[in-house]
Amino acid sequence: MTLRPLHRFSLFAILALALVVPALADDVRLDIRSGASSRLPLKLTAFTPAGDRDAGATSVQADEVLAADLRNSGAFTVARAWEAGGAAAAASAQAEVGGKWTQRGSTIRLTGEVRELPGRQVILTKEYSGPAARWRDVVHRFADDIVLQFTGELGVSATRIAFIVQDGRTKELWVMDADGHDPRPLTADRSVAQSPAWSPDGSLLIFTSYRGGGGPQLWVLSPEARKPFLLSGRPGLNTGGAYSPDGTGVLCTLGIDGNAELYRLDARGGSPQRLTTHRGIDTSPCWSPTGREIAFTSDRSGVPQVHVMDADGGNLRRLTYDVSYTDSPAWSPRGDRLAFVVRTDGGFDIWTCRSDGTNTTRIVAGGSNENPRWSPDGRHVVFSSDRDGKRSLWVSDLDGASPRKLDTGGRKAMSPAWSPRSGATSSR
Amino acid sequence: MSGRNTVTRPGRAAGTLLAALLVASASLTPGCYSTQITLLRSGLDSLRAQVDTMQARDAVAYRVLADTRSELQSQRDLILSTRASSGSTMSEMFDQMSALQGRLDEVLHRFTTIAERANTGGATAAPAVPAAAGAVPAVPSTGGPDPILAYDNATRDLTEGRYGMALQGYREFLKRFGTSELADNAQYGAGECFFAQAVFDSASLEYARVGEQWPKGDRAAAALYKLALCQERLGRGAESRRSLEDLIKRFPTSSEAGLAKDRLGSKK
Repeated sequence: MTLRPLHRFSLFAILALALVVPALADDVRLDIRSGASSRLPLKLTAFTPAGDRDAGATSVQADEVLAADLRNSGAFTVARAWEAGGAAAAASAQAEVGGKWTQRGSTIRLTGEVRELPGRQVILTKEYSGPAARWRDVVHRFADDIVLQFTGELGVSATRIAFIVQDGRTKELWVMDADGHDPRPLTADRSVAQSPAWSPDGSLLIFTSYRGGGGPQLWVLSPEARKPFLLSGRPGLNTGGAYSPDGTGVLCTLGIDGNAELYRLDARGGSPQRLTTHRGIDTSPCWSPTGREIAFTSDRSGVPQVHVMDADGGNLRRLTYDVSYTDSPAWSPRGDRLAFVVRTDGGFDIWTCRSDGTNTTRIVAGGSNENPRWSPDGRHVVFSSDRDGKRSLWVSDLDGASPRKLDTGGRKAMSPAWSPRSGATSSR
Repeated sequence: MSGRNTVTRPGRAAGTLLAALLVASASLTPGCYSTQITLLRSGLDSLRAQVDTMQARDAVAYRVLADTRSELQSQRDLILSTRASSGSTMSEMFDQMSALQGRLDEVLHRFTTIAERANTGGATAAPAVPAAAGAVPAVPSTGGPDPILAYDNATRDLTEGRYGMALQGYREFLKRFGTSELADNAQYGAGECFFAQAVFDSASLEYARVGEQWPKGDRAAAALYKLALCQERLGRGAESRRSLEDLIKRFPTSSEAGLAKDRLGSKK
């Protein structure tokens, strides 16, 4: 009676398909690449608190954090069942989210649950735990798994954004959670820091700084250790560092020959390999996700324009001819599009195009908008803008909706860089 | 004495009769015992046979029981192992289904685009020519497959890391539109598909074809530079040097010539 392997597999495959196919048929899967505003209505029920006395207070805050995470994911509309009128708003909900929030001593445990509606069949249940001091991370992880459940791709709530804060003449490197919570400085050099970029594993930040007292140099620091080390302090310019997707190399602009050229360094800053040889100024390099190509800004044609070339420096071509004066390119995580800025009369707008330069589309206008950077899931773009009068950080969900502002405590914030997922939470 | 005889005579007859009866019974009794014993023996043999049969049946039943127990054990192991692996197998299946869904979306998108173009008789505005190409295709539109679309699809696959599909796309393009002004780009793209996967020998063959077939094309310098890089990574330093020198000589104003000078300088 022992099943032969083939029969065993066939039987299992049939059983699995029998389970999966109806689930997919009933399930609502969102197309996360379309950028269309097809948001799934969700009903949120308040977490049930248990354990210590503090559990009630933190569970109320956790409810709100989860609601914000799910709304900001761009995948859902959220009806809070605990609010007045919440039940009516939840009438069209296709799934219900809730769970048990247990706080004992210094530990938080969340048993999260998602049920489809109207049948209320459980479609996701998972336990999360972490230190009570980092309870928001626990909520972010649940939110990201809910996004995964419905879109097939993990959310980005549990990521971070590095940015530059200007205070008078000084510019320091800061970091905060992706929802704008807990902004905190990483440097206190009373100098000028610029252009942060994350390593592929999220463990390091590379940035340009004048902290050495001379010209701009490339520095690297771990957000946890906060002790920078010098990556490149060669004579002349050392700016615009960008880690390769495999983490083995760094792109940057060096001025060692008197002209700003692009170079590739190894991850320790050595073995410089020149990639451009034109007398024009080449800056702002970024990698394609495969590491096969590089986009950068060059004024070789008269005004700054985004160009693309192979990673070894050859096969150079201008990205797009549809718009002029383009700068600050950023390649999407899927590799299908690039974001960049286009100069306007009063500043800059943010545009995207396909990787071959076609299908140019303006995604953000109004005020001066700079330094677009993609979220790890490619569903959002963070950028700096003075659209409300003061330069701060904003996020576009690429669905045509108005950008939302990130709360940086009223600080003058610029040059954002969205972290990859892996290094988002140390407690994960 | 006579008296004893008188008395003796009838007694003798009775004795004789008794003896006869005894003899008769004696002659009859052994036969009766023998039959019973035979019957008993027969019954005993029958019982023995039944016991033997039962024992044989017990042995069979025991074997069946042991087999059943063994089967149950193997079934239990199977269930446990299936349960243990079901999570990861389901996850793998979901991953595969997601990947297939992505491919399906892409194919549907392409199909829709082609269908739209066919419906409009090619009247829709053609997408912009890739910047580097800077040229329109030489093949006139006849309502058939669009060379720009075919080239763009292959290039998109290359940029997004689907090297197998990209290579297939470029080869198909070269087969159908070999005289197009994008043909040298497609040939270069075929080299890129191998170069990106560090298959430098195949990449060098593809790059070399660019120089052979389109020696004055806008990809010739880039292809020669990449050919030199392939040769360097294959350990053919002298060939690589010759290619770089050839590049500087033939395309002195190209950006690749500057890179070639750098590499030759660093090699000295």
